[in-house]
Amino acid sequence: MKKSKIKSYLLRIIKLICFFGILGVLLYMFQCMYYPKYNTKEKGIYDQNAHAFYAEPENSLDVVFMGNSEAYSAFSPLELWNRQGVTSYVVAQGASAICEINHNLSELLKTQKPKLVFLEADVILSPHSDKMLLEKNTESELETNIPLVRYHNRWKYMSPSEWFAPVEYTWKSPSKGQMIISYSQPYKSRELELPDGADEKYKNGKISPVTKYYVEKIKSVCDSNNIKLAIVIIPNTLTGSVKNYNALQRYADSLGVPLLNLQKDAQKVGLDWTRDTRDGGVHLNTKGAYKVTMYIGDYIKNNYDIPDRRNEKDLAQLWDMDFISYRKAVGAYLK
Amino acid sequence: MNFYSYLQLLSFALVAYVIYLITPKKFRWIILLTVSTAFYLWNSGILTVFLLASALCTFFAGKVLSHFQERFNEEKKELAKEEKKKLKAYYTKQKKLVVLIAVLLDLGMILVLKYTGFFTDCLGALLRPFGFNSEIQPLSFALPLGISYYTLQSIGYIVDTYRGKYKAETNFAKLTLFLSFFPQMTEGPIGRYDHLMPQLTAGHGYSDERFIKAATLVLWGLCKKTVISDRASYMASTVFNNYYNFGGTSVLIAVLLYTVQLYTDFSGCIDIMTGIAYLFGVELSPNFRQPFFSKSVGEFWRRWHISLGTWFKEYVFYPVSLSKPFMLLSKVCTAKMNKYWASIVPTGCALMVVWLGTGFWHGADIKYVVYGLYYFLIMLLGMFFEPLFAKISAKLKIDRKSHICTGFAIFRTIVLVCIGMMLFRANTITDFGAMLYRIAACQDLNEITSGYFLTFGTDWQDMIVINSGLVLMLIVGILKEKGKDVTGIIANSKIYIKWSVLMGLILAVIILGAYGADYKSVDNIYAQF
Repeated sequence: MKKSKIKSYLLRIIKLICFFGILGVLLYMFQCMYYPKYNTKEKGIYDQNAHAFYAEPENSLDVVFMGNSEAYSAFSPLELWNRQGVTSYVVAQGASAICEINHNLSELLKTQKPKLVFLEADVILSPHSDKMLLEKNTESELETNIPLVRYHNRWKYMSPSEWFAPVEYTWKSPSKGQMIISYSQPYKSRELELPDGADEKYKNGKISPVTKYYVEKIKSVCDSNNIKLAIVIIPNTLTGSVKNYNALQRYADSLGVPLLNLQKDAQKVGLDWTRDTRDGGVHLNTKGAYKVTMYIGDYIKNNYDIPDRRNEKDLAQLWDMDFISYRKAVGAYLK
Repeated sequence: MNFYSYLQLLSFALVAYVIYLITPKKFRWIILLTVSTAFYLWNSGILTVFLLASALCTFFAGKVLSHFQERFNEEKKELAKEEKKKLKAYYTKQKKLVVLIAVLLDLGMILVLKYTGFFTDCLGALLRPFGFNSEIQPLSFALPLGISYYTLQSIGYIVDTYRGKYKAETNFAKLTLFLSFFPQMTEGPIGRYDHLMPQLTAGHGYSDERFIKAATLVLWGLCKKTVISDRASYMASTVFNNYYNFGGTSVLIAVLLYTVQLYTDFSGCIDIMTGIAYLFGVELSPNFRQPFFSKSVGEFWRRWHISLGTWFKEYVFYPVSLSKPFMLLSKVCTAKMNKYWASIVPTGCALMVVWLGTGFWHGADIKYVVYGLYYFLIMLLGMFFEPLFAKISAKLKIDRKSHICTGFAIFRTIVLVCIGMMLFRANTITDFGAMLYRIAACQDLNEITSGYFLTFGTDWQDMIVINSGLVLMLIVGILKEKGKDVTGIIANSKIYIKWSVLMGLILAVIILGAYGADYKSVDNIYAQF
């Protein structure tokens, strides 16, 4: 190759590096400006409930429930605390892509050392095609890894004083990530046994390779941090399908991860579909969450060595106060 | 396609481009065919069989037409003039039959897939008075990507081969590439074989200028789509879907926003696709030429969706005008009417066929047929009154080329086009009528002063972004109108100008783009046709 040609190629490469270097600096600057400095919805954080764990005291959470709207509707960390002194948290976002769970877990591990992670099955048993899942997860990967993409629109709402303010994620979720729903919309039938998947598209009995990739990533993160992982199926009338659950059981077995099928055990949990759901059986309400939490509490007690932390005075004081507020908000409804 | 889909497409195109460049020139068209097939399979899955069927039908039709032409050329050599004529008539008949079968097969696929719902719906409505209430349910099928575009390309190719404009393609893979070249699959433009094929098979190398021009065009298109169009869509769709909750002012603003949305969506997508194609050295046919600078509706349609307009002109208007019944009509008109009517009646009839076709091409709905007829009527009235306007202008000594008259003509065209857009977007013709009435009655003028119209998803910041974008588009439009090659100027400018433009466009797309949790994902409007 001629010297001049090599020189021209080198020049092009240098130009390319300079171009993307300057662009990168500019994008990073905007990212720093637009990244929310406070973890509240008003200040722009995406899904504040799922991002409130940043404000919890370091290494104070032992159990984490992760998933989508099924998860934040079905677990009540404060009831679990009240019953057996286990500190837990729900890190869940509505219609979450599974890659976000992986991202949230990594974020959580920066300040917490949980001993047990429950992964809710609805994010695994998605009705979407592999193509759709790949697209959805690619979008989420982009948004989580380059936050400017997620928060780009904040220029409309933020004041210049926020641009370079320090990050202060001090907002705490009063329900530890649970969504409190104090109303019922019964399932159409009074039967306790749920049908085998109300919707055909939920019965494909397949777990997408895209989902498997992320579940295995989550498993690997848990393994390298000495965290036990369990998958839990929350009963619901939309996605419940024996074919899917069998597929999930086989998959969980292949990973060596226990699967807790509450759909199968709905009667043992004591769910009443006339009272315990907020939307005709798709999601549970606070009553349903109470029952599920009690059942899972027993499961934790029988299968894992999770400490009762009620003897840790400072921590217990904080959790007790939160529990009292929680019961004030939902106590009447739970009766 | 939303912001993320475009990112995927651009990543795909860049990877394809790298593979294209490292492949020997001779085989580069195979890379284009491979990536186009991959793109189509990814987007249409099993429905790719329809594209394949269309390609097979087009290829064999071309082959047979070529064969007939060769046989005619061979056989005519030793024949006398009269016998030659007879032979020509025979082969013309045979060729016409081939064209008819191939076009019917091509059109059959699109008619079944796209229009079955419409036909069954119409049949149901016709039979309802006779007591058939629920027997006929509207049927609908999934549509393969770009069927409306590649079908017209295919028909164009068959007719051109029949006319002897060029020889039929002998390589099936190359013909498939012509029909499936991936940048054209979403919203066109409708390409011509003689224009595209030499470019697709040439095997272009890399050039800095081409790369910068392509990147500028892609980013400019992305800006139009994500910054302006998707931003305008929110209020437009809110008002169009619930117009009864809004006064005339909000409806008027929504109509203007929808016009902006449609133009920036369609032309933005075309810019992106033209940029991607240009990266591979393929210059697609232009589809827009500053349509809102038009002085008449006719001119508007020569500047808007140009490839569709020229297709209809070449393959519908001319054949219809030159067909035996129309020639007869023309003769009768010339014999029985004065010069004025003799020119208007046959042209008007041919135009009606074109506009019915254009309306129907846009969608399987009666409102699209009315949409086509609306433009037909305007053009017909224009032709009808033209002599009168000319007379009045001459009497009043009005210079129709003056700035004021030109400005008025542009304004009048924009108003008529906006009414057309309203008809195009309104959910039903009744809704269109009701919305038009609201605007005409000037209901709730205070909606502007109170800022009420800014409370439905498109706020004042959005309005500032949209209007700034429009000002920028206007400046670029004026430059283009003056014959300046804007992307060429940028590509040949000093490095800091080039970089500033490219970085500015990238930042505008990322920061000002209407995507993510705050905005609804908006599909390309013309990708649905």
